[in-house]
Amino acid sequence: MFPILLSLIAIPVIFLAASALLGKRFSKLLACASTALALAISLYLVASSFSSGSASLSESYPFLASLSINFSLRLTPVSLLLITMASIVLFVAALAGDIGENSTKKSSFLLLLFQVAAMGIFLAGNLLVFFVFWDIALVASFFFINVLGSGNRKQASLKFLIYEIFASSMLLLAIILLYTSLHSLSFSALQNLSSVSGSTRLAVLISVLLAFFINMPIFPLHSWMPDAYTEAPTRGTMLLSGILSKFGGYGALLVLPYAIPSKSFAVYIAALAAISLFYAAFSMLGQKDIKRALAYSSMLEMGIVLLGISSLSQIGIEGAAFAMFAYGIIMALMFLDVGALFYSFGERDMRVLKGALIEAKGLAYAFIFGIFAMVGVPLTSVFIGDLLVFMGAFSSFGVYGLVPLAAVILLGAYFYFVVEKSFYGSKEHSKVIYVISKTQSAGIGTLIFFMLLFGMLPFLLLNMFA
Amino acid sequence: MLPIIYAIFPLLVAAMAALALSGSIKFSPYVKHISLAASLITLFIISMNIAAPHAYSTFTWFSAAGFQFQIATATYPLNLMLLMLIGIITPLIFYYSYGFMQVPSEQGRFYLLMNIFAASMLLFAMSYSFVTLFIAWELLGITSYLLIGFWYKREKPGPAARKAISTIIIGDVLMLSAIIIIFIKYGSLLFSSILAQGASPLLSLSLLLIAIAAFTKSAQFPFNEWLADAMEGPTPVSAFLHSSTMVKAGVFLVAVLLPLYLEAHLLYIFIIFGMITALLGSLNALSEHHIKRILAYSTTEDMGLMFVALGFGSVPAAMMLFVVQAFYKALLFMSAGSIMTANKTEQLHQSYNLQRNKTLLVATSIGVASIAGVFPFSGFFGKVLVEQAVSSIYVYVALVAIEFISVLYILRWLFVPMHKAAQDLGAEVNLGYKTLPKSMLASGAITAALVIAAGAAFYYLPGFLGYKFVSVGIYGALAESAIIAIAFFVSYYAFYAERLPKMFYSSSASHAIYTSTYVNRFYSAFAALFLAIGSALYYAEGFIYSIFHSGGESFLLFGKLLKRLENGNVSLYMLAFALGMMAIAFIFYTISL
Repeated sequence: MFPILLSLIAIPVIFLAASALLGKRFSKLLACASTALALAISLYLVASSFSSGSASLSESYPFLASLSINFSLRLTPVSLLLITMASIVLFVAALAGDIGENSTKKSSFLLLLFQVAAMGIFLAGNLLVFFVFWDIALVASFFFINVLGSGNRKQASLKFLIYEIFASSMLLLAIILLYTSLHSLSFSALQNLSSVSGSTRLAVLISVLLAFFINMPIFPLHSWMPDAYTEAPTRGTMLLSGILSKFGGYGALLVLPYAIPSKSFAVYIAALAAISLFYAAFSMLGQKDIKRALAYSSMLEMGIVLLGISSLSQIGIEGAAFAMFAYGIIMALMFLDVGALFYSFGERDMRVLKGALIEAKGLAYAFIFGIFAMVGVPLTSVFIGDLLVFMGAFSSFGVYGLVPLAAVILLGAYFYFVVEKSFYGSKEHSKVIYVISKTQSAGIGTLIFFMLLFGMLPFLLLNMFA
Repeated sequence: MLPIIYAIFPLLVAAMAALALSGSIKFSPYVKHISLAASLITLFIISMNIAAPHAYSTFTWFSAAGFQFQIATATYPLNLMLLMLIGIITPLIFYYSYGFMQVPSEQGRFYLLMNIFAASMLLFAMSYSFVTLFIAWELLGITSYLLIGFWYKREKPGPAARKAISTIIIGDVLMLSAIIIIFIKYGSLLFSSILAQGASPLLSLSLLLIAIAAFTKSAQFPFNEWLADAMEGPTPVSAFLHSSTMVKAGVFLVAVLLPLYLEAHLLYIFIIFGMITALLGSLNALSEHHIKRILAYSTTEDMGLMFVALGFGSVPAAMMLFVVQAFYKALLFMSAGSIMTANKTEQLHQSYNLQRNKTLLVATSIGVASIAGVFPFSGFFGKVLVEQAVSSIYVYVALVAIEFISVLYILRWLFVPMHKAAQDLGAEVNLGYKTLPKSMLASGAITAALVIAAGAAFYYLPGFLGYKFVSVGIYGALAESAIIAIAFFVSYYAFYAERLPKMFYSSSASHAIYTSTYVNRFYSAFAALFLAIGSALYYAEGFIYSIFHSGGESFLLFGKLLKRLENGNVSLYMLAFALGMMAIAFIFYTISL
């Protein structure tokens, strides 16, 4: 039996070593090759899970024998969705994300490190493996912002690190509490959480909520997010908003259904999700910088994911998983597009970027497509995610569960306004500094392709849940 | 799957071809031929299926957590009626675009969007489940957004397109909410299973949401303003949008779901909002100066009248107006485009010498006579049937007033461009009329013939839809004709001969009845409110961060305090050591006790 799950983690590790040893010229090629391999494997897994109608694989390797904790990996439908998303985003980030970067070697190295972490987290079979890869991801993201970021990068990266380290220590606390009470860290053991005494359970709940809510982020723990997303380079932002924010979402999806003591408690989580997403929507309205506005829209979307999880219904949770898949791709697309616009025009303030459609037709139409996808136009994957999430929310919280949909109106209204201001109209003189290359167009095309593919044929991903 | 679904594919193929060929200078001129051919094939497929059995078919798109998302198409009479309407109008619009859209570089994009637009309306027309309907509904929204903003280099289309989509997205979201409610509550999104449900509070709520969504699509008050701004799009788009696609979607959806509204006692909302919109639309049309905007306001009025007819439960009357309006509005927009092209202006008062082009004049007059409701033109039947459907005397009186105003504004629309131009301008305008592309005139002429022929719908449509034949009462017909006659004389003196007192033309009078401004201020107030919340949160953001920041600061402060202790003063250390030892000794002592 070929260790396919381990190979998903091992491949980037090998390429990471190669990237460290080989010269500058190969770094991008290695990153592309590693992520392309991961993409191929995950698409193969999608195909085989679709035909078999289920996705469950597990592998286990000795790790901490004295604590009877193994290095165990497992594949579930949700984790398959997320590794597919992560490989798509990573591949495009490797291929096209290095717009205007002058240190491709560092960024490709960090990208490979991030790939290791992402694959590890989504395939983790127990909380310790999850935790280890979580911290690797923090290291990669921190250096992405700190070394390769723009002007205010030092402050933004420190803010990010302090918040995330706090989150990771909270996660560690939860792990210790769980191990002492359950004597096992595997995700399947979480089902026994209801047998744990009330106070321990509450402590676990609070610490995982803090950890995951900081990561997603959820109001009021989001202060690191706008700066980090804005200051990170294009590749970094794609990974942060596309994949890193899903770590928390994935963790919440795994833990919350067992950690939440009662249905009435879930209402508070849903209320927090609603507050968070409306907060993000209204904060977005005040932004002039498109990248910063996108950061808030990413927060809005994670609010929708949390709403789906807190519904605790099967359809809501499936929806949350699908929504994370779709949002990962769409945020990567939007940040890549804005990065390319910034590269082309030296500007991403919507008041200055006037008439961009004339000179950057492809980028502008990709952006407009991205907005259509973000507001959930059918035939894009986001629609499927939104639909399932809100079906879950309605079935659990009644009509109140549908109120957060109003935030989508704000999202659309704001971004259509951005399009009007920055793409329509004409300006006196051309301001294009650079023209984007074929690889960037190919990257954007890849994201749009997968956005539409799984939006039109959602059963490819949903059949395995049955 | 029913064979009617094939009607969509020629248009989709044409759209693909337009996309593929748009980059090539050599082949992009063929895109228009491909599109016209595709639309004719579509028309052929639809007419082959016009006698199809009244049935629906479904297949499951995907399923999740036990919910089946079914794509369904149907060939019930209402579906076939709308399909036929779109099928006939599409080739005409495409043929009209031959002359209108002559910029080679833009043709690929134009036909790509137009084909998808037509295809999504066809999908809407044949949809029999909310899944299909919502797909078509949203595709209509986004393609119309792109088409309204088609001339992206100009200043006005951007805001117009944004206004349209921002209004439409409200409807989209409400529609999605309604769909979710229905799906969770009844476990199916097929129309047949929903129509079989009894009244319930949740169903009423979702019907209300659907009604608002229909109002946003069909430009009913208070969502009526986007349609007038949407005139910034190319004229073929306007002709298409106002006749058979987009704005018709809302009315059609309500007509399909009418039994449910009847059962939930919600019909009155259509009467109220339909009447308000019709009144506002007619008044705005009377005081507007932009050639196409007048017609746009007129469309909101027509849509309002259809909703009123539906509100009184009369599907045949609403559908009669639905059909005839499609033809006369398509015709009038084609004429508007021709007048604007010839005069190189969009303002009514800067257009002259319409009578110079006899083909255009005749076609336009037929359209005007039809919209005014002159017997025996098709508009007459539509308007009279709507008036007959009204069972309340107050509404009837209001309708008569609206009818009077609408005759006034449409005759003004015809008479003002017939004024003679000054000498030097006149020659240029006449040349403009003479050099109008043949396709624009020919498609107008064909549409004019169809406007007259559409009168036949009066005899066939009710039977086709499965209703009893509705005859026109002699008193209603006489009353209608009398109103038209009076309005004709008033507008002749007012707009053709210009012999009415000055007060009649004063700008203050027209400002008073031009309600657009107020509605727009209403929108702005909403936007300002939301933006204010947004900027208030900017401060909240700082406040939240400052909480975390002060948490960090307090740790630093604690560290500074500790640092003071580590000052190298050995005697102090000794003191601390001694105190510590004593404390430990004390603790051990108490424990041992």
